[in-house]
Amino acid sequence: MAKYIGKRVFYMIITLFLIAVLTFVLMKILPGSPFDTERFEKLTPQQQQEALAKYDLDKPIYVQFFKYITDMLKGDFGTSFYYTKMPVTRVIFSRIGPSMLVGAQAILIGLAIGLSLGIIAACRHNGFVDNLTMIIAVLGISVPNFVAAALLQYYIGLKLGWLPVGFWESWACSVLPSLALCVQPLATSARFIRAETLDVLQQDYIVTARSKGMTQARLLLKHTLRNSIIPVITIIGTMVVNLLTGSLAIESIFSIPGIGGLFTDSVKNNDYNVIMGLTILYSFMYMLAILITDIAYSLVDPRIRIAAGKGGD
Amino acid sequence: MKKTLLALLLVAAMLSSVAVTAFAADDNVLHVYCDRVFRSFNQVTASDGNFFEVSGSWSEGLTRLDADNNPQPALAESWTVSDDGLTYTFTLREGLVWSNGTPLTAKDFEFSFITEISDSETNGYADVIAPIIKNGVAFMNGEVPASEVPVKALDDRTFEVVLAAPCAYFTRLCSLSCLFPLNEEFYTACGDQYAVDADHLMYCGPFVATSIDVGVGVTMVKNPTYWDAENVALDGIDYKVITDASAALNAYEAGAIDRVNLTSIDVVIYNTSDEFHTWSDFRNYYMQFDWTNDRLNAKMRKALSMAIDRETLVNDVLMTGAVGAGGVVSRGIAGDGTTSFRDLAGDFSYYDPDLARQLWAEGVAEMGSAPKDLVLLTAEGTDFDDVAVFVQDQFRTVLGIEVAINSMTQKARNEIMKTEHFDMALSAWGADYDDAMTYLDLWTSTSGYRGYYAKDEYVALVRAAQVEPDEAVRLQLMLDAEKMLIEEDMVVTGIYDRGYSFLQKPYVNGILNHPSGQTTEFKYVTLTK
Repeated sequence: MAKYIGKRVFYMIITLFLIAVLTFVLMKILPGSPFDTERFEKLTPQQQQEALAKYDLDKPIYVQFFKYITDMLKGDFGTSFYYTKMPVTRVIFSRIGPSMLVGAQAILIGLAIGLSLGIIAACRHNGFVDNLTMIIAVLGISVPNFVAAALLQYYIGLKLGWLPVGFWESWACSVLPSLALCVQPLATSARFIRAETLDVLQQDYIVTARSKGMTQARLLLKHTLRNSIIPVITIIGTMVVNLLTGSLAIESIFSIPGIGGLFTDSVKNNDYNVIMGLTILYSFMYMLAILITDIAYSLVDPRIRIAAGKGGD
Repeated sequence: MKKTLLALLLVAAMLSSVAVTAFAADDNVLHVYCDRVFRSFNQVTASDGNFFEVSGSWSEGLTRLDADNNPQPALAESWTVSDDGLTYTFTLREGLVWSNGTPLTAKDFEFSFITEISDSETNGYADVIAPIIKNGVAFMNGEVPASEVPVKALDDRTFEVVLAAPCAYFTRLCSLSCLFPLNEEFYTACGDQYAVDADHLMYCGPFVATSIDVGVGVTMVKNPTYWDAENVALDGIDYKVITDASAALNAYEAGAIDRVNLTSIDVVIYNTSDEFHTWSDFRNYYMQFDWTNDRLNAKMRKALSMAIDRETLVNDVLMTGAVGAGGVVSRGIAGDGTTSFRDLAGDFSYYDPDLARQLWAEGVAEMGSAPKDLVLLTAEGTDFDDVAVFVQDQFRTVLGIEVAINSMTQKARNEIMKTEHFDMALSAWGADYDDAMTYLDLWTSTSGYRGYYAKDEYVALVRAAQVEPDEAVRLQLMLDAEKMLIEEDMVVTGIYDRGYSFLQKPYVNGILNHPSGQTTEFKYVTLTK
């Protein structure tokens, strides 16, 4: 297992490096420079040149990239151009908290409700709960989360006044955005677990277990869930990263200072160092999520563990 | 059973926290917002409107603008100007202190003035301040040491500045946040940490910040050690960042903020409300041409300018309180003291469809044929979107020509203007100070961003005005310059001066709006809840 993880980490580092190279090149192809502002245009050409030189923007791309990578290995991600002189790490860490809290809450609520609904629906196949779950699932997948956000904000925040309409001042501010974001994981996980559970429930071993007089609850927990959860784990990994990395629409609607907004702003403003920092962070989180997913597989499914132990992936 | 209990507890916890925060407290605090994140809280580097609004609340300059936009004594109780108009001697108020008890002296002004002009590319207003102060540009370019810049603390309460040329608006500039005092010891001790949080700032204004965050906003409480604290009625200010316009409107409806700017769409719904107001500031939106582009001659450019019905644009399309521009110098910019610059100059940019058609026909005849595939460059996601579509339609209905709109991000648009040639572009400039020079000196640049214009005669007029000691002569030079820029050469034409439509709760009084610099002022606000 340790050897397996070590190998994966090695690949992760190589992938990260390739992503860094690619992002760096793509970013430089973006038209404009971080200094293309109204005010910069008032400087004399000589002053403009000095400014570019100060940040090495006048050098060839490979020189800039080499410098970036060597600084990065020392833990220095550079300073932001937009947030004047502020280190990139500080810019990112000041914005990541709200996104993560909202995302984590959305995941927890979404999975808790979604998985329960899905399992109940499978047990009551074609019953009332099943139909209701499917309606919720279809709605949840087809209604964009910003529509849910706007509705929640208008009715619960404004009309009923139960929760703040936005901002980031207390925990209560995170409730509506979390609810808006949880709709999609809820619907997706409900659909997946329902289909898988239905499938498992028809397996021979379930019929055997049932004929031996096993109670429904024991049957579900011990024999069904463990089998039906495996495909769901696959989707949970990427879902978690998607939600933790912030949603531009939700953040904008609820005025949450998260990294979803930061990312789009940094692209718009050619804030090179922030774009790089965020891309590397996102990629890292994705790869970590995939790694954890794979490890989780082996914990849930002994067959995968054995296969990995024999040297297969 | 345990789980039910847990769930109940969770619900109870949720409801109790809701009860605390559901509606804005009935306190003596002003709740306002800005629609973009802060870029910096450092007065040396900042040049954004939202920073000016908060820094003007927690700090103060030698002067502060009154309701009529005239500079009044602030941290300086008085000043004298030498006969040649070059030497300003300010006397600070007695007993001024920073919020942490440190005495505030003339040294703090000396340090802030020097620091502001020390670094041109990252300092917000270095390009505005340096040319005004004697040896300022030479110091900025590293040609003379700081000791040669005549910005001196003569004693603790006397501060002297020698200018490069007489500057009618210098005391007005002294109200800008880049010239607020800065304590050298504190600033250098903080280093990189300066202005990253509320503890790494010093305050000398009506309020003291208790929290600052570029993405969340600023909270402030009244500063008891402010020299004019008795005239500050508010207990504090809650200044949020809300980037989404409809979220801001919801927040206003929910009572979480006391004032909200409206978009054109919302104006239609709210413009009969008692809470509806408008104002306009010194930000001029203009259409510019490429001076080196021979596809359009002067007559055709004039025809294009005259084809734009500015009144319809501001009243029926934008509806935000904007006013039709008469040139590139905004309406209301100071003139000779009694009449504004615009009124003295008259309008060079105006709507005249008949003349437009005639000039276009003449222009085309001179050229031999009408230009094909004209393109209007614009930056997306701003007011420009609506303006571009309107202007395109005007060209079609008045002149019968098709102009394509090329809309891209501002950075991309700027790059195209600088590196390529273009037909016409929409752009804007906000006044840094209340004087026509803030607009006119832009066009001395050779950059494509200014249409590759910089005609020798024009540059000569502006340079002469910049050093002219006689106020009447200087004004005439500037009037001549704008006339050359628009009336003769038509390298640029004004479209409108930006306006704001906003709703404000009836219990809010005393928010001052200035058309440039710190555009919104909270010092004098009173709430009658």
